[in-house]
Amino acid sequence: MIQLRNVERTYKTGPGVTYVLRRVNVDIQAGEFVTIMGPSGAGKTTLLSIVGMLDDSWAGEYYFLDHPVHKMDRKKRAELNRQYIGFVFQSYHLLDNLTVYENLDVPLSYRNISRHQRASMVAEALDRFQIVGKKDLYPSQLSGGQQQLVGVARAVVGNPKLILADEPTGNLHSSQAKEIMELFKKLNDQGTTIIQVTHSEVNASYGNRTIQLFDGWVVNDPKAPKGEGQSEPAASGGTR
Amino acid sequence: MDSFLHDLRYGLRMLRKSPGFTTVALLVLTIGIGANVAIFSVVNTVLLRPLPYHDPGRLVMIWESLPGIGYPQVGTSSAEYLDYRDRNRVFSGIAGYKNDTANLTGSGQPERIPITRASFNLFSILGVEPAMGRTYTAEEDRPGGPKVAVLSYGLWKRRYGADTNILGRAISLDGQPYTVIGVMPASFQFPFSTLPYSDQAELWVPVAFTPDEIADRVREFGTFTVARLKPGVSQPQAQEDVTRVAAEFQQQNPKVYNGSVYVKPTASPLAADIVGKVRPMLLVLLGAVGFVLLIACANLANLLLARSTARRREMAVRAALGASQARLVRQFLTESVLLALGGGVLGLGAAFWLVRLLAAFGPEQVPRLQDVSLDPVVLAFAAALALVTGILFGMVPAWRTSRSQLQSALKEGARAGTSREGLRLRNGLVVVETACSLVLLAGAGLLINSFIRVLRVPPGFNPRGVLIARTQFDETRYPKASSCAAAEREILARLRQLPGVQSVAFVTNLPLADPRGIGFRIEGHPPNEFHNADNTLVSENYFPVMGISLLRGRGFREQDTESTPLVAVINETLARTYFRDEDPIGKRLLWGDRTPFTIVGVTGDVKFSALDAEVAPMIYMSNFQVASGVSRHAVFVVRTAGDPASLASAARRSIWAVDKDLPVFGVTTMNDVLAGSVAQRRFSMSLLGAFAILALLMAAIGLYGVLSYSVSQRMHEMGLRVALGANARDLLRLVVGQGIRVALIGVAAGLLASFAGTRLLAGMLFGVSPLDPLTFLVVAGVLVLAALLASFVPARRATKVDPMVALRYE
Ligand SMILES: Nc1ncnc2c1ncn2[C@@H]1O[C@H](COP(=O)(O)OP(=O)(O)O)[C@@H](O)[C@H]1O
Ligand SMILES: [Mg+2]
Repeated sequence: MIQLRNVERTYKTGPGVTYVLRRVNVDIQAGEFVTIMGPSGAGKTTLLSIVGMLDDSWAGEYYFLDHPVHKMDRKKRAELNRQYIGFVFQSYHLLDNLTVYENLDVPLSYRNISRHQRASMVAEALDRFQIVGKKDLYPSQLSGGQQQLVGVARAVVGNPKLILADEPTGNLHSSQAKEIMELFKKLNDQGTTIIQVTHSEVNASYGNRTIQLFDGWVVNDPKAPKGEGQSEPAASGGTR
Repeated sequence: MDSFLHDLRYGLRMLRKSPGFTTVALLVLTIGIGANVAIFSVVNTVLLRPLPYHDPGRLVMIWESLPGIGYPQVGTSSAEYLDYRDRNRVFSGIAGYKNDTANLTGSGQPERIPITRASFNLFSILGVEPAMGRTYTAEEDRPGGPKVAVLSYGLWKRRYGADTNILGRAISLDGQPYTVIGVMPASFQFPFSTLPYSDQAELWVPVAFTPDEIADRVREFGTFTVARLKPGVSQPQAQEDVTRVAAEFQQQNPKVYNGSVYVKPTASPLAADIVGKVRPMLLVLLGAVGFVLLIACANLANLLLARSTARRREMAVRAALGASQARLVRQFLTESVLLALGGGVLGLGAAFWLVRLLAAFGPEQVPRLQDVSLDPVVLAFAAALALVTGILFGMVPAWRTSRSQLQSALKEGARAGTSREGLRLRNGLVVVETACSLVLLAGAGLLINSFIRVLRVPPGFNPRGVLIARTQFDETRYPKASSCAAAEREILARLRQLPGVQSVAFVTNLPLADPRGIGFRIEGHPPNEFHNADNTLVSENYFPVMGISLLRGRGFREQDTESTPLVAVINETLARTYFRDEDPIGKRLLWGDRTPFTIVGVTGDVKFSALDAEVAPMIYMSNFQVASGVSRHAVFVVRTAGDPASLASAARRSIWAVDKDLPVFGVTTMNDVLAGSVAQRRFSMSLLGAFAILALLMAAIGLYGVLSYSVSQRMHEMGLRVALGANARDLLRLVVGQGIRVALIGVAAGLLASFAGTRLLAGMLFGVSPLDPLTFLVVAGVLVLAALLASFVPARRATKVDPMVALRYE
């Protein structure tokens, strides 16, 4: 589903350039549940945003469902994002001024879907995550766990093939976290590909594969693509 | 006190620290307060400042109407004035006067000046002493008395270089020597040019009614009466009393007052007569600038609100350190009042210039416009306005800050302030701004609409390529109508020979400039059935030169002379009104004690009194056949192929070539005469239009500010939406939609307010209803368009959002 080849991401910092991702080569098959781990600042979020087509300033090759993303313009990438990808964020990022129902409707409103069909999709998601009773509440009226539940529901409402979750349980108690992870597991079992970023080994254990990032380098990937051997970085890291 | 000084110092520091905000706020305040102070100072001088007389509230004018003939407001006859004077029981003093013009010659170019012939007690009734010399006595105010004159301050300065030896000097009025006995103070004016049939007199002479003047009670209603109420007498009592006097003298003269000839007197306050016509317009303008200031306040409240949100942390810390809510509110108010006072000072400066502009370009129909100044009343108004303004726009954010949960601000840190409530308040302010500017736009739109319609009214003549020049023949050197006629013929002949001149004509009363009405009867109708008609005396070729169409019969001919039967030409309206089913040609009209006038022609209707007034019946007479007092007012009409204005000096020379002592004045084009007749309309339209544009700009800026702020606060949300699949168009629509929604609510509220408000304009409109749908549609459209433009910039900024901010935002 995803093939990254020599993906690099740099930031201009003052006079020089900071490498945030270095020669990243990763293959992810449909149906996988991948965990990305690594210390803070390793480039995990950057990698997710590239995979999620939110970032345009990278170099290398990226095939998504055999589409050459690196050859696409912003518009085409946005289309792929809309069609196939759902995001879950660490701080939920629900829209404060919208109700639960309206929050779920937001991503659908950006797709070419009739109002009628949107209503039934939102209703289905509410039902599936058992939050029908909360549909008219505002995010501020929900607990953190409930908010993230809505966050996941919003990511899933458009039936994405791929869910990208950046530290989805970072702000939750372990019991709430468990609930969310079970949810991911269930979604994964139903065929949705999931890539999560987490610091928790427990969470990682829900997945089937863990990729380690360190200072922009992939330092450990059990399924590293063949013939594209991962060169170990020096301990001093990948920033120059 | 100490803490107040502290607040003050701190407020100043905060304002200095954000020069951008301070500059914008001061600019908005300067405009808002400046416009208000300027218009208020006009209202203050024109409507509020007492007239320059002693106890002016006790002064009344006596007017008469002749309902049977259709004269709504005229003066009295001289004989009637004497009756009011001698028989009333309510006035402590009563003076009669007649307005006239005279040719002033000697020392410099001859000029025609407006003068007033007034009874000797006019000055004492008004309670004004001369600045120099004396006014005339009862002994001097009699027929055949000494010829004495009192000069206005203006004439004394302008014509005689403020010569302090002027007293006792002889001046020449209409060729007769008058002795100057006094000079009035600069502040003295009487009558005001806004009184009916009046010009501002430059000189006063005794009225000295001749027996001939008093003989006919109803020939002329050109004597005006000003009186002072006795102590304790109210205006209704005065009204009752003059009604009684009028009833008495009409009963005692049944031969004079019968049929359609009867008079009804009105005793009305002098001040109302002087300013009554402009009062509604000035009040509308004052209301309009009030709206402008309200919009300015809303704008500033919004600016401060944005700032206060940014300063919530500061306030929270202060609260945590023990500041009471009152202290916090006061801190905000100190800043806003400080700003407003700064704006007030700058606004006064702006008003100073605006007032000069108004005096320079305002129409003469506004009395005392030249006297408008920033007096202590205006200064107090400006100070009060600034204070109220400061509190008004400072209150909103101050109240918000004290109410909000300051403690949470500490925890929330920089994220504070995107609450739904705050946004609603800000949007509400923009709604108010939009609504106010719609009201102003609607008002301006209606006035513009009216103005265009007035200009489109066909005047009934062709004003293009026509030059006007005036003179006046005095009775001393031109004692007889025939001597005037000879000079007029000669001047016409000289004008005709000027290069580029196509044709020339003569008229005594020019349309849209010199109104004149007469009472006439129709031969064969009951002898006491009088009717009212506009009237002017013309030369033979007046109709073709002015481009007035002749519908039936003939115009005047040179063969119509003093020795041939009198003839008249009437307009279509007179023909339609009084000769509905008959041919008017050959019918005869009666005017005064002259032999009957035979109608020989019918012309098309001409707008005579005003473009926006109904055409009244009109009777034209031949200037060279009919001798009348009015024939001394000479207006020459010159039609040319080229630019008429370029003929001005040649026309002057032509008149002086005939008589170098004739005053030449009012040299202008007919197009300018037309424009002058709509000057007041143009004045109110321009001012209201300017205020509306200001309002629109400020409302647009307000909307822009709110959206910009809201977008900057919502950057994260925008990024998130992109992450959820929104594209540029979606974001554009989101922000512009927010702007348009706010604008539409404002437009709806403004429409409702306008439906009520534009009624106040009804008297100033022409050919358009106060609820004219097209005007409302257009101004609503203009506002929505402005809202679109104002939304577009912040919307564009929203589309530039980097979605990654959403991911990194913790
Ligand atoms: N706009 C930026 N400019 C410069 N450096 C950035 C920018 N955004 C992120 N970085 C840097 O990129 C690196 C990777 O960041 P990120 O992907 O957020 O790491 P992680 O999610 O693994 O903590 C960090 O060192 C961060 O400082
Ligand atoms: Mg991260």
